[in-house]
Amino acid sequence: MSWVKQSLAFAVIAVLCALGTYLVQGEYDRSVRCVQGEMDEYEVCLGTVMDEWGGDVVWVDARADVEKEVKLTSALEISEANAEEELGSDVVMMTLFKAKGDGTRVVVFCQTDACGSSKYVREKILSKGLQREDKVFYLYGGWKAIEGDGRLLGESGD
Amino acid sequence: MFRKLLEFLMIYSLCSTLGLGAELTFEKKVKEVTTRPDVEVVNIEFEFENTTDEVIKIVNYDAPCSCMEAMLKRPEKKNSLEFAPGEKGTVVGILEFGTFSGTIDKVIKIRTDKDVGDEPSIVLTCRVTIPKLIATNQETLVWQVGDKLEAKEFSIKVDDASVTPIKIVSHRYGFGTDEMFDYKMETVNAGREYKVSVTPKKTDAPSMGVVRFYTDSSIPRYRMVQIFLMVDHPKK
Repeated sequence: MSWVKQSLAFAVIAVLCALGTYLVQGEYDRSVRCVQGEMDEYEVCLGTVMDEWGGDVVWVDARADVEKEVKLTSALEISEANAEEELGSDVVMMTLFKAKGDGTRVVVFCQTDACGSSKYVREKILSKGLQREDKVFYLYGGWKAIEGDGRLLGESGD
Repeated sequence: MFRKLLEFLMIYSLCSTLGLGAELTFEKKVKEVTTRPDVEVVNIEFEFENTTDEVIKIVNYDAPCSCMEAMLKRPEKKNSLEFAPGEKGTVVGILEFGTFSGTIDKVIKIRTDKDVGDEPSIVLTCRVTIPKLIATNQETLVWQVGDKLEAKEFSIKVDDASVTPIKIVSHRYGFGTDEMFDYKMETVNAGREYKVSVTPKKTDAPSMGVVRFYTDSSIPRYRMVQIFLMVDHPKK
């Protein structure tokens, strides 16, 4: 058997294996694994937000501008570097203050679970008195969790 | 004697299994830096050495924040991520700041070929403080619904670390704030201290506003300070 035939045979076997895996396991799971019981006090899984709370929250996007290739159109934008100024914007301030009155939860996300910006922005929101402590959360997995889940991306804009 | 030897062997084998015996040794894993007030970019260096008797390869190093970049330097300028026993290197965190002032923690995560588990074994923390040269002594003035229409005061002070005075050159209400609040500013010591008195016009319903004070500072992050004003929602 020539090396071409051997290579083709291996390629066919690889494709069959991949197909078999796909049929048994289904599509590759891109979701961020998250167990609410293992989270910090104000850290929240996307599943909790979407399934238990029905997605009825004010989203706060704490990513830097360069990271925002895709955005959630409904999210308030408060970056870590300019949090002080952006919290004072009329829309941001009044939306958070109204949510405080309504008892609506606020969920802050940044790019990943380790970026730290969402925790910082949460603290800034609380320091201004714009929400109550038990109503502001930061999202485990950040934007990666939102992308992996996909449900919120229907409302996203470029 | 035999028991001590046995304990040592057990601990050694446990550490080897967990990959704890094959870690790069850092002089410090947390570095605190206080910058100049006008700083825009800060470099923080973490020196390390392979103090084990094995070759350790860095398979990934990353700063999971867009405001920071991580770099790896080697004294011998070798372009390799493999460190033989005794070899040294430096991880550099490069942080960029916008109008931020205050203290911030940012991490760099490093994974080596000896790591087990999901999390990288090495986490370096850059703790950066950018001085607040001008600040209000309160972030928000709060009244409750039904409170008397009484004034509350706050001050704006320029830190002693600022050699040059920072003067407030203008100030104004945020959108709609003048319908809910009145304020008066008094100069205590121009460029050093100001006092502001705020009175709500009504407290029969929750309301929110902001007053902004603009300065003559040449450094963008000190060009504006603001105070939030709030007639708060009743607690549920």
